[in-house]
Amino acid sequence: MLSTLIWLPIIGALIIAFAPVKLTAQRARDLALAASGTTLLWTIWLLTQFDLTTVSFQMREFLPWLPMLGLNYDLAVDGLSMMMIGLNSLLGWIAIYSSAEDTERPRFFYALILLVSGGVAGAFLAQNLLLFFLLFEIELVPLYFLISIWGGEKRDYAAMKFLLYTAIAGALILTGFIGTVWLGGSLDFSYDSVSQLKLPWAGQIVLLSILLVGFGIKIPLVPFHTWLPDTYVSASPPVAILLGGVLAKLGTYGIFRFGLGLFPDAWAVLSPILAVWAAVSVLYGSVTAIAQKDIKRMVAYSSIGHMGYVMLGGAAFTKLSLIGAISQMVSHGLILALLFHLVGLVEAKVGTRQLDVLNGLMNPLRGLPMVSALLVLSGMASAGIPGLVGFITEFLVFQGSYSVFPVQTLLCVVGTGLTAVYFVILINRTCFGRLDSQTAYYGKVTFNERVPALVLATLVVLFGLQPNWLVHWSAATSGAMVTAISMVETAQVDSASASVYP
Amino acid sequence: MGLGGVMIATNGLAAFALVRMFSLMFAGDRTPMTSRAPEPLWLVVLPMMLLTGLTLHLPLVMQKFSLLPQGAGEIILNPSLGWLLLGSSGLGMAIAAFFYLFRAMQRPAALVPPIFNRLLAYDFYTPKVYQFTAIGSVWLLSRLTDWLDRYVVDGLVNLVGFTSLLSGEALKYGNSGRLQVYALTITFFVAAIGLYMSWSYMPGLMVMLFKQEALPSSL
Repeated sequence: MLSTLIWLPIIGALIIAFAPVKLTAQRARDLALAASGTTLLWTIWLLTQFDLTTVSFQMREFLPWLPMLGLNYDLAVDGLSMMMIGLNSLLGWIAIYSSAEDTERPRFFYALILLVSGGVAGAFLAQNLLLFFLLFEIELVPLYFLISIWGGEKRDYAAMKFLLYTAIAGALILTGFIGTVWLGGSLDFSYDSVSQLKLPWAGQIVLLSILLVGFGIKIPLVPFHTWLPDTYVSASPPVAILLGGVLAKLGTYGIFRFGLGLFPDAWAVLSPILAVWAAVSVLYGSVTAIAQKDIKRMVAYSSIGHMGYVMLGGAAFTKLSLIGAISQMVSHGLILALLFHLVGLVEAKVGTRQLDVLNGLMNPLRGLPMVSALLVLSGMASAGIPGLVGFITEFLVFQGSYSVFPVQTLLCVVGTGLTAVYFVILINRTCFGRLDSQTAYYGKVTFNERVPALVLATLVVLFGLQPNWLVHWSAATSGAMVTAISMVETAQVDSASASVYP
Repeated sequence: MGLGGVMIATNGLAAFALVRMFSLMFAGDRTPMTSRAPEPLWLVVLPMMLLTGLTLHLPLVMQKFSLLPQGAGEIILNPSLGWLLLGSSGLGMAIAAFFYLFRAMQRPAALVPPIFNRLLAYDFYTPKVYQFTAIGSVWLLSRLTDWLDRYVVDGLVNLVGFTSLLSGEALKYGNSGRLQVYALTITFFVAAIGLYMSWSYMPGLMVMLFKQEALPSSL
């Protein structure tokens, strides 16, 4: 069942890649949409089969691959990965739908996007550390091509930077995984067996630190973030949607699954540092976003800030904060995808992304009123205005983390205020004011161009009004993760008491 | 007591402001705009009149239907408070009428010290204070962080990349084709690395050598 999520996009990619040369861009797009659309439908069916009460992994699929290396084809899903799979399938379809109908080299383009989608789905499902690493690395190559071929200005520089950073992240993650297995004396990279290993305390701290830096580059957290603004800005809108909406979540997913899941006692020790790191990322990303003149760059920096909330929720590791953090990953994915799509539309129609040039796009006659209205909505959602999904997830994180890290939480709340500042700047200068009637001869926004934005905006409002439809998927998994850490802490307290009072 | 004083002062100031406004509007000098101002339509006047009536009667209506908070009735029926409120209203209205209706002075604003006058005219300079404190500090901080991000954090990354490229270029142009130069370079760097790696053992080595030399003399 789960293999379909990996192999259907890959088979679709192969069909498109090896299709006759005369295959038109429109037909290639239709084929890609069919493959990603079927994957999305399959994901929805899997959601109906998912047991919300089960704490352990479900729908397991196992196939021995290279047992000598401890590498097996082992897939399963829990609340955390189910939500990421849903996000990946949806944004994969949105990315293809939002790509231009006259894309150059269409067979290569759509094949690469489907490869990324399949690879990322595999990484979210992998229950073997080596398999996760392989799938994590596989998505790097198609993305390098997607940025360097279809990107905008400075695309070669951005693609190379992305490649180098992600390769370093991959090396660190592999080091962490191999170190964990070797130090624990295991021969198997299976997640279940690795999670049973009893590692020395100091070893856990070192290995968790390595993984945190590795995944911290991927998220990215300050100061490992400098690849992000260049890459997001240079990437075309569909690729930016995938990068910001899904790929960044591989980092937070990895931290929760392999950092929190494998080293709970080291996590409890390092969590205050993580909370400070999260607060610094939130403030740094938000403050830097205010200074930007390019709206796409502003959105890119906003992403750094918002991923900090996820880290804060993870660092606090209360059930509520963890549910909030996981939901924030989905919420951020939806809002960022919406923002990148709208910014892409503004750039395509107006021809610029510069705040100093854009003005009055809300004008109902000659502006882009629908795009502007949705831009206002997405800015409000990102700033955490009640009634929209961003408010719910950020509130859950803050509510859950305040009791554990009050100062860091308050600093992150200041970050939401700063988010409102830069989005007001963006919306005020872009959508409002007087439209320059001398230059305002913009192309019409077609219905097809609006569809991705409308779908995403509907979800942003729907999950904002009925948040239970979003948060209940991860409740059982979050509870189990928190229980695991609480048990470790209790055991530590008991052993400390025993040593003090023999 | 303090709050009561604030209420009475506010009441007096509100009365002053209202009479001043009405005096300037209806008893002030005629201007070209006001001389040609048409009467509003009854469609505009009627709702305003109805709402005025409702506003005036609202406290009585609320009292009638027991909608006022507990204890509010006692305050309303308190005669001394009522007289104080009426007095503050009367005083405010009288001062405003003295200056603006009967034109006792050409420029009543001149009675107030200019600094205080400007403070009131510019709303306690709140927009400027806000501009220089909240907005200014966030703007400065954002500029500073952006500079730091571009030239320090990203600059360091670019420096590493640039150094790697430069090293590669230097290595490329160092290809002279002469075997002696290659052999000399390799030997030099092998020796340098060897020296670096054995640097920590040097003191022990020196002590050992010194002791071996010292032995014969002691014998």
